[in-house]
Amino acid sequence: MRGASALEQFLDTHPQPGARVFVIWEPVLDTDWAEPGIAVRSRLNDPRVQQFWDKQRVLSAAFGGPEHLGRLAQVREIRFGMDSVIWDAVAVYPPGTRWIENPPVARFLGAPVVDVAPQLAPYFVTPK
Amino acid sequence: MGRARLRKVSDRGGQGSVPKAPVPKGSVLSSIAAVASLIAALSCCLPLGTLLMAAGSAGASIFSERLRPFLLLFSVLSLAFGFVQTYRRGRCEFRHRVFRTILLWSSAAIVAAMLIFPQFVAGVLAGRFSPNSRATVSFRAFDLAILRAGFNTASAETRVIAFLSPT
Repeated sequence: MRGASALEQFLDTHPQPGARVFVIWEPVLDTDWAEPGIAVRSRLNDPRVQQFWDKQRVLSAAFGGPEHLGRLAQVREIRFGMDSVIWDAVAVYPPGTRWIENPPVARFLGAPVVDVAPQLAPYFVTPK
Repeated sequence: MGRARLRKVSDRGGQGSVPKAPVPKGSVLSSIAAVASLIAALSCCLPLGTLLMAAGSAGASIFSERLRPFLLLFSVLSLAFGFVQTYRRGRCEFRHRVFRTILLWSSAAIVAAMLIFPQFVAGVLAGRFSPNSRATVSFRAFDLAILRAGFNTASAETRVIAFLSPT
């Protein structure tokens, strides 16, 4: 949950309106028995955030899993090994990027979130 | 449910592993002796310690994701040991029996809360649980088509996708 707190803290300090954040909660750890409760979800209460419970880890599979991390972004900062699922990671897509069939290539992909959250700053610029 | 294990390695070109110094056999033996003496003390003279270990390790499990399963298992075992000491064995009398019983059941409640409602407890401890937060959180079951539509609808904006574990 440190990742969620770090992301919320980042959003608190970058209130620019031109951004949308999709948070995908997925069961990864042995203790992830159920979808995140209100207490956990409320860690991310920024109005720009939309949260999803991906019980089957569909999105990670759609992205090709950890073995395809190298193809998912132009710039990567992955600081731990992921065995079977993409998690504790954050991907940034600049304006204009569209998702047609396969997931688009992100400008930046980093993990764990608590470490890389500050690196999202250059992508949160105030639109002119 | 597969478990993604953390391995602290860098994706940026193998820093290599730090060679570990050999552990002296004497240190290992003294550590084992220390643990054994601690267990001996807990089993007879310090029944409260068992309960404090149960509650303490359950509480610590909130803050350490990697160790959580082991800490919770340890707390359950400690708690079971405490119950056996209190209700099945009278070998070592403890004068403040009422206090010990209250502490035992308090520890059991803490551990049960950690096991059954880990997210709620974590949220309460983090001070982030409030009725006001319910209204502002957008949450739904995952649907790839909905995510994709939302992603494209906001194509004029910067978009972030974050993958997170609930605990």
